[in-house]
Amino acid sequence: MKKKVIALLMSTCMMLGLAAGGTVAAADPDQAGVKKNEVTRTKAGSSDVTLTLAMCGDGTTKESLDKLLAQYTEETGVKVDTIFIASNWGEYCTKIQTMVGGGDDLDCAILAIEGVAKFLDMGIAEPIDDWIAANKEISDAILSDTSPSFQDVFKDDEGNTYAFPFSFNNVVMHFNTSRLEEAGLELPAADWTKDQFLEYCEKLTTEKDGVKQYAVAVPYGEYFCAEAWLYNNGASYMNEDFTESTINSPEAVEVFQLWQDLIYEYGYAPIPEENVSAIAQIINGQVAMGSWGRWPTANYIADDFKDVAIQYLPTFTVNQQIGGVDGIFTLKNSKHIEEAKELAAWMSQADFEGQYLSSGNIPALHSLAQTKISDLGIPENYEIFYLDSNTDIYKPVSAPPQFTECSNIVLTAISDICVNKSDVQETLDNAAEEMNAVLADNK
Amino acid sequence: MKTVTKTAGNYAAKKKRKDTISAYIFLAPALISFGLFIGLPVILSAVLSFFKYNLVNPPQFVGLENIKKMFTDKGLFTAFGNTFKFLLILCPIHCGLGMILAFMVYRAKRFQFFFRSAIYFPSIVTTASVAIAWGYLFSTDMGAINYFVRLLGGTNIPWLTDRVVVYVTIALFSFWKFIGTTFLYYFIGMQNIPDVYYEAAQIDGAGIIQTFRHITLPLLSPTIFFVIITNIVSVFQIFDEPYLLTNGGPGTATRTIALEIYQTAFQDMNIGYGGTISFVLFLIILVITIIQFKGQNKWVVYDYE
Repeated sequence: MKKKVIALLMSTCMMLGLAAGGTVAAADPDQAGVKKNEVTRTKAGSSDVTLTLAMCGDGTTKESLDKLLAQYTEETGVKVDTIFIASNWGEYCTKIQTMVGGGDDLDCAILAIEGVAKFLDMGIAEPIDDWIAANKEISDAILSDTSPSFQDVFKDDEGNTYAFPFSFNNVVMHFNTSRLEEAGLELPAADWTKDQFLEYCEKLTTEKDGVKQYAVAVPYGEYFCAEAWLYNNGASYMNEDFTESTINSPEAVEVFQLWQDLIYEYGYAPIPEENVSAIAQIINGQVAMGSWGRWPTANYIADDFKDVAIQYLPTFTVNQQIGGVDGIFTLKNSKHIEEAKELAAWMSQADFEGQYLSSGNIPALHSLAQTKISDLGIPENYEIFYLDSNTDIYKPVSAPPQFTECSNIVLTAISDICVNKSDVQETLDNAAEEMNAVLADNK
Repeated sequence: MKTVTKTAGNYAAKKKRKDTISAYIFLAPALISFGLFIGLPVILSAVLSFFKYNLVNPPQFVGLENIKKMFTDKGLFTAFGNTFKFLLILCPIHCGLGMILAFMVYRAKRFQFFFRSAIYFPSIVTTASVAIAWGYLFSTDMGAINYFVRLLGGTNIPWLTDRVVVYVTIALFSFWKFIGTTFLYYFIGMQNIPDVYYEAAQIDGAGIIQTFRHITLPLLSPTIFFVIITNIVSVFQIFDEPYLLTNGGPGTATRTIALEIYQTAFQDMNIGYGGTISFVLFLIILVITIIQFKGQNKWVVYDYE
């Protein structure tokens, strides 16, 4: 009998533990919500102020960031603690949201386009228009040197500005130049077409020591990079006001079909896998082409890989560059709003950006990008990273307030099509239906 | 005489009360932490089912909206279906093979310590790190396993990229990684069976299979019952294996209910709907467990000592 009771108790504990998994800690609306009128606005330069800054990344740049911020402390007396959150942008935004909801003291956070609409929708971010008005010279210098398309990303419907563009990425095709040489190919022209792309694929699909070497990696698990392909065919995941999905439009279907065909019809691309890095595959030559922003340069440097060149994505019906930008945001919950705005602005200027951003993202300041990117020397044809970075040529990636939900829908559809070999039209119709349900709130 | 009896009765009552208080004092830390970290969240999870809540803005009361949504959520049905598939595959593996392994090691005359350690070792390794290693081993083009398959003249097996084969891969991983715990329960259960039964069986000339069938199996039934219940509960919670090996893919092929809850509550930040799903799952498991407890009278032997 005793054993019966023990077994019953243990099973009950396990079951309750399971149900507890889907819940959250006690939530007092006043505590969990955005704190109202509690902001202590201290004068900038106070030596007793310590700000907390959240950054997205694995912390490899923490040492250099802390050193640079020590300079800031020397200049202003304001100390800055940095927190690095190692995850992708979607998960990073969720973590920030959780921290804010949990009442953590967070003053500034880097935030990419993926999370901006969501943050503005929830009222987490603080506008910086008053800082811009009070510091016209500095703000003009930043705004005149960055893309208006990116500046618009950080504005709400009323025109309030929440951050300066800090760094950005466009999506270009990366080439392993050794593989190009082996196939007797040159870097394609900037306006190369879909047919030329398929010719490259044909020539770049080979076999070495009994192992197949592929031409291209499809943009698996990459919401941003995948939409870059869609843009070049006049398609996108959703309409511009994020009220309706367009992922099943004929133009979009054509691109998704191309990815599936690259894998199964032509055999030009490997079946993508969750734990296999396509960037590692381009470095070791297993694939010859892959579409990313500038972030793989960090991997190239780490692996001392220099045989790499870039070109715009092939033009299908149009050549529309995609853009994804991030900025340093001031959080509404901050107890030192003025100092936080000062820090965010300081980090958005050339002195800081120039020292902090080397490999990885492209500095949003056009003049700085020109020098920083050429300093690195790789990849070949690097100019296309920044050539248009002070123009409004970029079309920002689709980032509605429901970004996480939409991103999951898109990535599941890509996985279904590229791994499961599901029917493209049917899969995208289902994805559109799901996305429309999510986007209904925006109508 | 009456006075003596009365005094003795008072003393017994006093002692009982004192014992009860002591028992509650000793139980208090466990009860408080259970109530605070498990009981309260369960209640909150049920309460939040009636709200729309994103952790930042105050919760909005939405009535039965979240419950209604469950009935039209295709993704949720897929996740439940996948979880039941895992249940059918993993429970027999863990409960059955775990017992066979434990019996073999228990009966082994030599290297028992080695086998015990080898089988249990994967259980203490971090799941995330070994899952990444397994991901590389099972990679279609670059994986070591397919390399040997090709050497033997075969073609690449889509271990993680085919919606059917992926279940085999996850089952293999799950067996390797988690069998140690089940094995340990069984092994301890077998150690608790008095030797006298085995000695009697030996005198009667029973073979190994007869001994297993007529002595080990019935006397191990409380452990088997416990292992089955805990396994069913843990398979309903299956998260690590699909999350780390496939992220629920390919497509939604291995998307389980725990992954669905994680994504809904902690990625989409739809805490209310996430709470609804987890509470419904809790009810499903509760019903299954109650049925199992009702059914145990027919086959579980407790009073053999």
